[in-house]
Amino acid sequence: MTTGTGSAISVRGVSKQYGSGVRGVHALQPTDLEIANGEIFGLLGQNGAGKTTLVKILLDIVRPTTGETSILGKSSRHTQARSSVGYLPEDHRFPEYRTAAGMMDFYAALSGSPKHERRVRSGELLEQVGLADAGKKKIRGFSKGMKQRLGLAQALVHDPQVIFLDEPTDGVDPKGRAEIREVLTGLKRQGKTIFLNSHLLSEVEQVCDRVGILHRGTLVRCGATSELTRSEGMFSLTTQPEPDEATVAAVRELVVEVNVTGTELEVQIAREDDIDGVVDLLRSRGIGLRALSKKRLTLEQVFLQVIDEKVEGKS
Amino acid sequence: MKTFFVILEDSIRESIDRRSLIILLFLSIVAIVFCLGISYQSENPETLLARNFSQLDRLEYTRSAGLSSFNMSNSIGFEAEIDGIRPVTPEDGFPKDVAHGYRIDLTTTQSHLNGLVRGWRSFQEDIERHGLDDDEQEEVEVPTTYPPEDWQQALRERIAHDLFPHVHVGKAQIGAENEVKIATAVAVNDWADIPGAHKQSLFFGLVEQKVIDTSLSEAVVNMQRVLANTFGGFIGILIALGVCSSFVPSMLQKGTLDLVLARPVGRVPLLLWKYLGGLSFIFVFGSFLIGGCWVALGLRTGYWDPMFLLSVGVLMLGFSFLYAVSVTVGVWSRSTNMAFMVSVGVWGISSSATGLYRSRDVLLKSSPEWVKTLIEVLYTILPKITDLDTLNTWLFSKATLDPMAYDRIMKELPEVDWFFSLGTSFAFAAVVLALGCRLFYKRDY
Ligand SMILES: Nc1ncnc2c1ncn2[C@@H]1O[C@H](COP(=O)(O)OP(=O)(O)O)[C@@H](O)[C@H]1O
Ligand SMILES: [Mg+2]
Repeated sequence: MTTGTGSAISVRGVSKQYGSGVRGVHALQPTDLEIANGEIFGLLGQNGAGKTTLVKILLDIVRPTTGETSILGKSSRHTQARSSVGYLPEDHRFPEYRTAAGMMDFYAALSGSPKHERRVRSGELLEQVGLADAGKKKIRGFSKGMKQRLGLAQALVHDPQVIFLDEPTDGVDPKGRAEIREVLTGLKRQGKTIFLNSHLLSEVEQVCDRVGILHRGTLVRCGATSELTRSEGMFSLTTQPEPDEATVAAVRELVVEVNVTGTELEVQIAREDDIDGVVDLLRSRGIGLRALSKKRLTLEQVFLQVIDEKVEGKS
Repeated sequence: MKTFFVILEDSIRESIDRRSLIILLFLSIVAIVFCLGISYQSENPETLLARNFSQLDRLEYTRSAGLSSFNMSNSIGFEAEIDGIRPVTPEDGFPKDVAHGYRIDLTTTQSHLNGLVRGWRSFQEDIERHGLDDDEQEEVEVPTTYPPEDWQQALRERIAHDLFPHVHVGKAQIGAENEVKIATAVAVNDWADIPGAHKQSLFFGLVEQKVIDTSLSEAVVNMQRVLANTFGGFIGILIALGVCSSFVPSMLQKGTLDLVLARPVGRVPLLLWKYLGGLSFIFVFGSFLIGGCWVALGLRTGYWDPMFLLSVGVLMLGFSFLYAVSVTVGVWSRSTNMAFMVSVGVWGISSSATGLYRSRDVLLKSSPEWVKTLIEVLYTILPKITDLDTLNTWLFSKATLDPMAYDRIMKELPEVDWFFSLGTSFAFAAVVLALGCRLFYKRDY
């Protein structure tokens, strides 16, 4: 089934306006997006950016104002597009009258999974998300964290190829988050495609191959995580011993900007070659070099930068 | 189809969780136990005949006017003494149809027999006129005496009326001082069809035995009507509407619907399955109630009437019309209360409209034109739930009653154009459900 190539999710010119007239909300501007098979894609954005809207359009829960979407080559408007799709909605609410296992079985059956298979899989999954003991209990008594884990389990119960997770770590404690991350990396190893919505940037950074940043309904940045966080001309150096004031002043002459904290130097240079000059200078002053690396931004920094640009651009 | 059973199972779990299915099953058990607690005992023939023949003077009948009906009681001024009651013997030389019946010897007077003829004839004329336009009747000269053949005929008709279809009335033997002796005979081959022939006791004998004034078969039909129309068709549908009205809104809850819509199930099938889920719910309830009562009544009365079982289908019909409203309002408002109230409202309005329309000549005689039009429009478009009670009554009567009692009950029922009644009801449900599907299909969730 999994080919590893081709596009698992495709969004072409999709926009969404809720309601019409003055009271209408432009939740999504025309957006294009392709996500390859086996990729983990993270969609970042503030609350109200339109992340959920995009996922719901992909799942045909919300109808787009313009454009088309498809999953595994099938238009979202076809019921069958959802036959190999798992979805963990944000703020999901399970029917409380069922047990965890009963509910898993219900959703798996709706996805057309055969009886024997779904029994085995739901047992395995409940164990995997740490709910093995709670399987026979009514969902009524579950805590928020348990419901979130159960949500993840139901999204995977029919062994889908494509998985949409909308804020999966919302309301989950740090240990639970780590477990969810583990589940995600496990899924990636199996070659599943994952579409992850989150406003928690470090999460996304840790697991996603590619990231999109959605701001007020516009996809403002999209690319590989490593590319987005790479920052041109930023280096960090660790010296031994600490550079003295005069040395720092000399370095400042060579570079655009320098920040010193103890033995850590952060330099911003105009051309990549300029770093050699800095190294030579330090060495000539008898200061040893213990580490030299290209500095990366955290996703958070990238994100804030993008948002700032947008806000400035507007005003 | 698999999806249907998955969704149905889910709905049933939901209703079990709410204890509502239990309430309905409990209600059914109450009805079944009630049926089991009834017992009938036939009366001694001599007692029965003595009572009936001493009451020939009183004529009771029902006259309907508009929505209501009156029980009328008339005296026709006839008195007779019963000289003896005994089984017919071959020596009596009576016709074949009463050969296995009873012979009742009466002693009366000529003036009483004249009174009988006069009273009986005027009663029949009254019936033919349906009691209307009394004043326009021109006074006719009424004779005071009639020939013995008329006595014979009137007495035969009077005894046959509502009582014994097979009657033989012998020649009047005029004796001294105005006295007349008449030998009569009646066939009682179907004891169950004779009014007043049975004693009934309720609650396993806790409520004492009492002679009922209907025949056993009519009592059974009345019982079936109460069970199918009141227990099932009213209380049952009302509770089932309450239960099933929550199915759609609970599925549409924010956060719950997403989980279902993300599955490969179309929205229209999803809603239709939910609708059928409600119908299956009433089917389960109806089968339990009607099936259980059928067995209980069968055991207690010996009537195993398959038509009674058909009323499960009639129950589902009525529910299907109303549940369509509930489902659509549920989609529109996402509120259980709203869905329930509107469907009950439609039920109430449609029943009133049907009643008013049927009796418009009497009840709407002096209403303004727009009221008449409104009632007519409502009657035409809304489902005709009350007709289903008529349908049940017709089915039960046809299966169980003797022709005389059947005719009597049919006279009480409104005349229904079944093609129109069921056709418009189905059309209503289909249109309402289609609206619901369209709304559900179009919406963003
Ligand atoms: N059903 C809806 N009707 C009207 N407006 C909506 C609806 N759903 C979302 N919105 C609006 O669309 C915008 C995007 O919402 P959403 O996609 O939920 O954002 P996010 O998931 O990124 O927080 C918000 O302004 C929100 O208020
Ligand atoms: Mg969201």
